[in-house]
Amino acid sequence: MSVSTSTAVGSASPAVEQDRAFGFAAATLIGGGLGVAFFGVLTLISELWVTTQPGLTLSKDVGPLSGKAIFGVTGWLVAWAVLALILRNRNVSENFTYWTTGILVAIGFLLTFPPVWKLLGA
Amino acid sequence: MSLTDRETLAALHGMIFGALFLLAFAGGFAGLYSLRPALLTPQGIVERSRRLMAGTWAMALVAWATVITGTFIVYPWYRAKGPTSAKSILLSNVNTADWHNFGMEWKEHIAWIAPILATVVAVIVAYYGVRLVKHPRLRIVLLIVFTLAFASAAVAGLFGAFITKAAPIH
Repeated sequence: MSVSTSTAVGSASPAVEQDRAFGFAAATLIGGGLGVAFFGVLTLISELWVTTQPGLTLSKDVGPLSGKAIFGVTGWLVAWAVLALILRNRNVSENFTYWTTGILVAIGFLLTFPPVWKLLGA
Repeated sequence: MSLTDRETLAALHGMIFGALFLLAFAGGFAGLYSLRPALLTPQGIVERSRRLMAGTWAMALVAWATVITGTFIVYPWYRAKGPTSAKSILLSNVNTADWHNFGMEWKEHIAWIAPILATVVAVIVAYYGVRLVKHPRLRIVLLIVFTLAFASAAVAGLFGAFITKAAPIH
């Protein structure tokens, strides 16, 4: 992972103390992207392989969506926590963070779109 | 004029929580967009940052309330076994089946993206506080993430409204 200086604009701002490291923001953005992508992957798996649906059914009334929701949110929180521990004090590249987050969020959006499941054989 | 318990909870999910998130989006977007040193006095930045922090956190909490009530309270009634559930009614007619096969299938999944992205925005706004004004690129990225949270909630809300019109939960 490359390191860069922040692109902060420092002149015309209020009495601001020392700036925050970008690492935690990077962890939050990439973690969010991972959460969205993970939810999309769980959705796709559930649609492509129907045999996985009982394993995702944590609530009989809700069905497989219960597992996708609970595992998806748990996966997001775990990924975010791990990334935050690793990146919090680092000055992570903003470009890398934004592109990674964008790609992950796009994957999540695509994999929650029903025609994509059908395109992939569901 | 009365509502059943199920209608009340469905309205709480869609018309209170869901609608609140969608309506509040414009305010949050405007707050993030205008958080620029050239547009605000130093006191204005402090005041605007606090308002933005409270607003984005409120929106994230409302987004969570919307998907949790929708998934774990309303959705079981929608998909209940038996010929009178909304899902069964929609699937029983070829003209309405796509409201479930496309609309509900998309809605129930894309909705979960909204609270995750709204939380990302709220956390970063709170983390930087007034310092966010010094990060124009990050602010633009947050605007995009915030808009994506809105878009996913809007898809879910739109299909929720159409599906409820085609097959209401009683």
